[in-house]
Amino acid sequence: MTDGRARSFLRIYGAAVYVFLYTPIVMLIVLSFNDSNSITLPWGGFTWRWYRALAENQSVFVSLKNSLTLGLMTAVISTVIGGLAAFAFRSRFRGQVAVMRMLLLPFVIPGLTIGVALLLLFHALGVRPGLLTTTLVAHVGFTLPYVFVLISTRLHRFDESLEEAAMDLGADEITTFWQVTFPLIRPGIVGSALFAFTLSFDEFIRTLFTIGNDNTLPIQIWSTLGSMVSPELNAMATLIVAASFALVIAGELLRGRER
Amino acid sequence: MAIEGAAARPAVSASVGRSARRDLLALLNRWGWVKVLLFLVPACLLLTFYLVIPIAMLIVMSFYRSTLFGVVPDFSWNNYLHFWRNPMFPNLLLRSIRLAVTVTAISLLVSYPFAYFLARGTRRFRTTLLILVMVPFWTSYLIRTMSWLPILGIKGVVNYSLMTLQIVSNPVEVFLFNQFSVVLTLIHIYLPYMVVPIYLSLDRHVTLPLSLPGVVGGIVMVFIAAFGAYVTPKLLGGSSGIMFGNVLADQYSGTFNWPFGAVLALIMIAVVLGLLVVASRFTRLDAVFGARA
Repeated sequence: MTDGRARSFLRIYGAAVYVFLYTPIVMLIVLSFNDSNSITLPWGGFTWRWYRALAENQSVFVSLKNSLTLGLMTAVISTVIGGLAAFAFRSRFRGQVAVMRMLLLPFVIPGLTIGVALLLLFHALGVRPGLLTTTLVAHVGFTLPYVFVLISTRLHRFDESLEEAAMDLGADEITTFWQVTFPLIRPGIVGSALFAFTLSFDEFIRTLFTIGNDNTLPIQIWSTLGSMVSPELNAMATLIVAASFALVIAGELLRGRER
Repeated sequence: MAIEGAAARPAVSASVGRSARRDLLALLNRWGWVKVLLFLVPACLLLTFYLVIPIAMLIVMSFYRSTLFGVVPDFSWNNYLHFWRNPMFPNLLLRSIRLAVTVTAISLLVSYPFAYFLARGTRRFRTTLLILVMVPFWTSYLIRTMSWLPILGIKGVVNYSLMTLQIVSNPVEVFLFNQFSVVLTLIHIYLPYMVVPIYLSLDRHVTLPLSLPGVVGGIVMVFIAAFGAYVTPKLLGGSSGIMFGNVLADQYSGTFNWPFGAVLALIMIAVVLGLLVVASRFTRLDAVFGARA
């Protein structure tokens, strides 16, 4: 095969994979405008009625508010804790590898087992399950390794001579941090917080076992799926996908700006 | 923060000579560990409550006894024996491993040429194309699972198209609520887990054998995700596509046999750790997960 033919074959193949990745989501978006009571084809004409139904659904707004609150708190707490740990890793210390492996361990333990294990813990402690108690712990633990890796990658690429220069010029360590280090890594930190928010906003399985009687959007979708499936669900999914896209792109732009 | 400042301040001057600088470094070396410790305490405390104690509780619970009146603290191997004596559970475990291996293998076959395309076949739009791979990764897997319902169902898009094209006269049931729909959907959901690490290793190295760490990383990530699946088999699996995770979750939401559920959870964790041990023989796993220390 000539180089040109190999190249065009690769391109066709690449396009096919994108089609596979995006077809279901695109179908979901299209079907959310379908004027029909079933969640699938045939096409019954264009309508906004599922979005109107969604706007009148009070419980969706409660879930949305819960998801946003939880996401924001998770992002802030996780970024502070993960950021501090990432800073600690700039120095060498004994047991570093062991601590790092523990920080990365949540990546590889299936969320389902974490969910049931947390259920056992909170039950034994007598903590009543709730959005901003048990679920918050679950979400911060879930997002922590991502934040830690993102911020330490950023710090790893950080030019330490800038800090040394500031200190050579008489700045103490705190001044150096706020005047030199922080402004330079701020896009990375904001980007990690955004990722933590998105992860928390979409998280389902750890939430299911820790949330008790509260609802987040994914929990609401899950219980709707169990009872009645209507195109209203497609509309809700479309809005969530749109919001996630916007957040990821914002995060990428933030991370791109510092490169 | 206070310790940081106290350690640094005495040694700073406008013209730092070699010796003063060495003093500064010596001071930081002497007090640095306090700072390191303080910075690590919140993360370690959190992980103790998120990971260490919960898994310890699973271990303790796995020896307890479940009765009609609740869980009785006891020490017995009965829950483990219950797992081995009833052929249903080992069979389910094997079937779930087989499904996860299938998902992983097909993902690898699909992803390798695709990652190669991203690393070598693109130039101008590479960032955009990469973001397009990453975006679904950060989008709810619940929604991505759900998105296959209107496609594969009896009245779904596939059947609709087949009937419109007059390839079949009656809707075909083979697409949904079986192992096929579970495998297909899991591949769709976790493909980015495979593509991204392979892309990163192909991007860094010129020759294909050096992409091994990326391949191992992708295999580990996709297998763990597929093996630990709950939502996809529950929603799209029907009765033949049920997986280990569903039976595990049932012990906490349906049958309320917490001790046996703990055994199942520990088996799930053991399979994952076993895979990590095998994988670590092929590559440095720390690097796979982005660690730099």
